[in-house]
Amino acid sequence: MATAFQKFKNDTLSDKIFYVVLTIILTIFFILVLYPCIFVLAASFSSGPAVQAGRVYLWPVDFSLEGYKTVFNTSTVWTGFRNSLFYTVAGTCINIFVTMIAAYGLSRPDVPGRNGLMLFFTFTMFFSGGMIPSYMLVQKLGMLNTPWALLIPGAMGVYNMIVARTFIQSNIPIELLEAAKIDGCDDITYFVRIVIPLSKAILAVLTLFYGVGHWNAYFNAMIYLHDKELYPLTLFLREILMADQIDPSTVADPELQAQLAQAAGVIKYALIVVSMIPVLLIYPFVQKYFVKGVMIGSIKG
Amino acid sequence: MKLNKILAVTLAATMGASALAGCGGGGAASSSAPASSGAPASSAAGDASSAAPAGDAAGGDNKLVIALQGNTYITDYDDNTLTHLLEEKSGAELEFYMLPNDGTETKTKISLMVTSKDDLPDIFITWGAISAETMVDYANKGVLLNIKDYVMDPEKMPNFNAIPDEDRNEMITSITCADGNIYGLPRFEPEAWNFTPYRMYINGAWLKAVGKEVPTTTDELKDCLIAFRDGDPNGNGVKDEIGIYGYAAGGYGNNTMWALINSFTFFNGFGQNTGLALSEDGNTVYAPYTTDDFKEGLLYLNDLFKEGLIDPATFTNDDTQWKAMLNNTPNVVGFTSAGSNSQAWPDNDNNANFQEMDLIAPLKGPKGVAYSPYNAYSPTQDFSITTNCKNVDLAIKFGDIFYEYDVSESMRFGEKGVDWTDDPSQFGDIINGSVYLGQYDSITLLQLNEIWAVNTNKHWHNVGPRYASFDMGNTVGNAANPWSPDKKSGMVGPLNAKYNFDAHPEKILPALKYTAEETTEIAETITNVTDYVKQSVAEFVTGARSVEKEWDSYLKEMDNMGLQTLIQTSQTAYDRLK
Repeated sequence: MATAFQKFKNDTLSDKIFYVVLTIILTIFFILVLYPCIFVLAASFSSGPAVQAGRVYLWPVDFSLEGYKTVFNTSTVWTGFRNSLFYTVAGTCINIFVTMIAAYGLSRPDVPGRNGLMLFFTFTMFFSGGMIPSYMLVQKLGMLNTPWALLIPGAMGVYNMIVARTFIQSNIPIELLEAAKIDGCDDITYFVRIVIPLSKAILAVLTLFYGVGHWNAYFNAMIYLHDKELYPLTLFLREILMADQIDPSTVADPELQAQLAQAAGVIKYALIVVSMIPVLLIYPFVQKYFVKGVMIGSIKG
Repeated sequence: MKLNKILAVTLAATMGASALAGCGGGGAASSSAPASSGAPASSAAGDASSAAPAGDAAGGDNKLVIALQGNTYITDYDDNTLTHLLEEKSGAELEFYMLPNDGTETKTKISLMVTSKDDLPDIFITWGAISAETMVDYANKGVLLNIKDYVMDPEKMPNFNAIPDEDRNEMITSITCADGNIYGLPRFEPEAWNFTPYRMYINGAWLKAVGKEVPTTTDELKDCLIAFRDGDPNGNGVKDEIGIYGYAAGGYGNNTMWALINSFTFFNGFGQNTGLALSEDGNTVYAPYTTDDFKEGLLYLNDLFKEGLIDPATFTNDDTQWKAMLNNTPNVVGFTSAGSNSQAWPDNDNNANFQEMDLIAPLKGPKGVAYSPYNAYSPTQDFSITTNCKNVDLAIKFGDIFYEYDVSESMRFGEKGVDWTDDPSQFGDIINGSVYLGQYDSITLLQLNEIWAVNTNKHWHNVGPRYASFDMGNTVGNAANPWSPDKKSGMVGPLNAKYNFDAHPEKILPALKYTAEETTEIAETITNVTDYVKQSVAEFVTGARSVEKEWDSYLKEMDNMGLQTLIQTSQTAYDRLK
């Protein structure tokens, strides 16, 4: 701190202004991002009526663990938690496998039709068949109401693949391949023994991108699944959040709906906290690779 | 070093998973081909038939696949008291296909299922998610079955046809689509509470503090509000008292403006039929928000606003802001309207602010008009049979069982004998608000456990057809939280019935059903007019627009939006009902 201040004193005036303005802007953004988290945390430990009445700001009001009790006593939440973990782990593994082989392949300049393939991939970033054709595809593949429906569609994110490809291209010199080949290494061995170990940073980034994506995804689950046993946590969470809203034009009995909203208000914040925990736990471990990986991929690209 | 291990494990898992992906379910193997959002199709379509769930349905003779709108609070549908009861009574074996809890999402999912057709269940059961117009559309696409002949046949649907004529006719009218066919079985459960959501509350503690009587006319209300404004009734020495407070965007009796306009002319607050009403003789459909009486109402409200008696936040509030102000300490709200007292003031019986508020009767306007926004009850259609159903007779029998008294009440209250009872010897001295008012001799059903907003596997959360007459709905007692006239929250119900229930013109426009062409023609007008009136009322009341000067341009603008066509079309739809 002292050295930073020392440095600041020695800066030119324009630099000083720059730092001050930057700090102010970043602090504002920091608060904007932080406050919702604090609010959710405080609300999750407050009593239902206090939250409903909007009396919670920074600290829990009428401290209560009712929300957590309800969440932990709800078997569907545990089912959802288990499913979400499975979808996240299995889905991320598939994602990484598919992304890395595609990225590596496309990073090699000696692959015939490389540009054509790349164009083909990029095309899907801008155009897609839309919801109905996707649904029918999944249905015809027989994946409807199976875990595959959440794992296979979108198994490779083109954006992520491009990031990974650029990373490999710019960090692993092609000379390495030539040297390895002289030592009798074939393509697959080269990929597994040399490319993968050298791509730790990008693997960490991809894991985080895909993992968080899977953990937060609900739309595909809502569309493709109809067995409650297969629902991910987000779908339960979403149903609870939706139950909080009353629109009498769509429900026949608004008074019953109001009762539900009351009950949902008690558990919704606790459930949000519970569903945030896994991501919050993993993030610090991956974060140091995160910045490095994306930076290298983008600057040298 | 550690990371190396993690990587190794991850990689091994990746390989394992992809190997599984290879052998699992034929089609999956080809999907390592890039498909970012379902773009390039593969050739594996041939394997699909074996996996379509509906395909299994034809297997057993007594099996019914039900696409059911789910609810988070229901922990298990297979091992569920209501499921068992229905299976036992109908002899059908039920298999579930869950639809999302949310109405909009259910609609999306159903429309996908309808589009792809080979994935259809035998029956759709929703909370009114398929509108009458959509039903006609789906029927034209060959997905829904016209069940009119079954509905009318006492042999096929004995329970339904045993319903008293008056109610049954209303049900049949409401489920008959514009093409004259019936595609859905109705849920019928009118409750006095839900007809008149605009319940007006005045701060009784403040009335006492400023020495005023409960207002009965619009002029007296103004008088009281001025006293509130100037008299510091909450006693904190600050002039923070708000006269009229509300939540214009709220949908459940929250827009105080609509409540007060009804002291000038009857207007249902856009609760139904785009706010249209019926003339006194019951022949002509008209739009209340174009009448001179409505204009008088706006002048009155504008006058209150100019006096600083209406909080402008009324027009900008969202749900959270609205509740926060109502529950402020000390209480700063003098007058408001709310559909659900428990929504507005959470934890009623312990809520100091709610304890101050008194429910009042609709106020008499200068011409003696004192209405309360009222919407005609309209049963929803919850149960539709698809063309995929192989055993229509069984599906009909299954649908009919919902109308049995025991099943209908179990739909809402859970297991008979455990969660509710109709045995008078168990009622004890428990009564409810209607009995207290002397409208009924005793309750007819006693709720033993409250299982509505808790996790349960006793019912389907009232999703599905049901019959509970007006009298049945009004004679329910609650043993878990016995009704008592000493509780302020308990008296809201009976007082609402007394003040608001009959405070409407004799002839009420029933819920209209439009044909597909009519819907296309007026859909845009409905949205535009609704938004425009809401916006204009806010502007007129706050003085952003002058009522006197711009009333004509307001009327003209609505005509440009197609209001006259809307009225004519609604007249046609109404004449069709008669």
